[in-house]
Amino acid sequence: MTIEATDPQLAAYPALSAYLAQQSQQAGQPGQFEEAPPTYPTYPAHPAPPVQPAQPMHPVQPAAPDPDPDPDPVPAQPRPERSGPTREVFAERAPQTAAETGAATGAGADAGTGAVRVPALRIRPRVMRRGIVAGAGAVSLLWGSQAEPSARLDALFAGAAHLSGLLAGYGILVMLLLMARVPAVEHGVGADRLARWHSLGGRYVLGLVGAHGVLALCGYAAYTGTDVLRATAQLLGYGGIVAAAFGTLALGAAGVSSVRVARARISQETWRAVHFLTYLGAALAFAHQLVGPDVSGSPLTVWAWAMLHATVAVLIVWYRGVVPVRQALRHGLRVVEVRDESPDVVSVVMRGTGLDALRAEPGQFLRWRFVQRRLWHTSLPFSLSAPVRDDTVRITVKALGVHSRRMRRLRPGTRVLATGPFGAMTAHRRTRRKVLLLAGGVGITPMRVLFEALPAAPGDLTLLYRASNAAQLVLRDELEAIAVARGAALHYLLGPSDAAFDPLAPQALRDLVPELAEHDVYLCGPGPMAAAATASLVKAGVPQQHIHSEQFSF
Amino acid sequence: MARHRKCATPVPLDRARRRLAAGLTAVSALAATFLAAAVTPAAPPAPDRAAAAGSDLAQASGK
Repeated sequence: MTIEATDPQLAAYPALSAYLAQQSQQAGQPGQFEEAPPTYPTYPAHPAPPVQPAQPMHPVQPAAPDPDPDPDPVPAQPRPERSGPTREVFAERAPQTAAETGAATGAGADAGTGAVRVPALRIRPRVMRRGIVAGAGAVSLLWGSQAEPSARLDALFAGAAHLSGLLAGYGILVMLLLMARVPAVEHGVGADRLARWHSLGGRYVLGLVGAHGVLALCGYAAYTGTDVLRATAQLLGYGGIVAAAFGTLALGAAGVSSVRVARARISQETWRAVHFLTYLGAALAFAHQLVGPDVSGSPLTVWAWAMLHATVAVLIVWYRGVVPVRQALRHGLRVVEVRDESPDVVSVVMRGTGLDALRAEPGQFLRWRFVQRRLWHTSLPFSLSAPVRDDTVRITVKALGVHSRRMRRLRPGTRVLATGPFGAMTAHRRTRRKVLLLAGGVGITPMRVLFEALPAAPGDLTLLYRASNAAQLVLRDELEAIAVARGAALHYLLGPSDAAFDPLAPQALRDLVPELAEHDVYLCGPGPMAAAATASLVKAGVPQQHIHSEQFSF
Repeated sequence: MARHRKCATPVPLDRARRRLAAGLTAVSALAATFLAAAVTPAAPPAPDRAAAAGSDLAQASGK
């Protein structure tokens, strides 16, 4: 464990790496945890044991914690890279702690019960992306197989209108599916990536909707030999077209409200309410799609198009409506304690019943709704900052906005509605034996859980915790206890972000983390810090596909 | 004497998943069938199709 200054010349900062490496060699031999699984301080009911006092340190030296000459329990087994199934890699490893056994991968055995867990279903991002593109190809093929080549102006306009309309209808469904909170998608693709796809795809879809409207209008005007205004009036005589026009307005309103300038001026609740209009828009646009010439050609295509819409609608109703209500009723979560971690960070401990059924994995988050004045109307996404244990969960929140500031005033006994878990920054993304966890600010919360639960031999796990000063470090006692118990390296990187020395620079990272390029990196922190750290890691030789991060400041 | 309900045996997760998938698919199929049969609004002619291109406007308007 070290505390690094942002100025490498300041040798006054104590470095604890050598001390902990020595501790690891003495106490962290493989197999030791199997006999006595350690428990780490998490909740107030289990106060943190005093951390070993740091011995007088030498001037700061990069840590080289690799005390185990052969830390891989299964060195003879070939390890598949990212393209291969990753769960099996770790199924071969002997579990070292009860927490590692089940919680880390979502597959394994329930601690204490011995019941075999079924692996969580996950759709990989690549599979999802290919599926979306393949669907667009199929829709285009549907159009192409029925298109009748013609050089007439009205036919050209109409043909383009029908293709853009089909793709727009399909795109609306994809956008809704991305936000349907289907667990296999959320856990495989990741909530932040889904949000980015939705944000980017929404622009294309709105473009296609606009193109479809304009092209259809021009085609109809050319076909009837009238001007555009008269053609508009005639088209609005059709009920399905009127509904589609209102649907377009609803989609347009959602799109406009998401433009950065507008988004900055309206509250999250207003933006969300406007965004709900997309459901209305999709429903209103549905009717006229069924009677389009490409879909209405065969009863089978009509049914298939309706089935696509019905499936997405059912998924939305189930996962955004039924499941949250069922989880709220089943778990009965209530606030137990609100604890100050630093001047602007609090931990909220909650207790409920049957929380194992959430199957929350280390690194995941839930959406929390606190039934208290001025908080009940919004659902807030926060990562778990400790594994689910004894029907108790904990989140750690920094006061960054209006709602997170109100969290400090939560009263014990407050009812909590939790939905989830979500997020894909979990053990299933891991492909390497060595793991580097890189946290910035309150991004430490998911890293804290992964630091405890990721399967790793002593010396294979490193946590870098970036903060502007020591007062901003939270959960410090727990992190240090975990580091000692697991033989893991822990480095605090302190200093302002605009300091001359950047502790996240490529060379600094290489100095801190030996064999950096051989690590999987889990990264969570503020957007600029995460972007800078990613760039540094890539420059330091870490392949991009081995950097796993989730950001929500898109 | 208190009456005790028999404890329900928890359904294995993989079976529960299959049940859920089958249920959601069945509901979707029912809804799709209803929508396909019930939603048939009038539509303007399609100039890029032979049927519309070969007919005059009065026939094509379909109203």
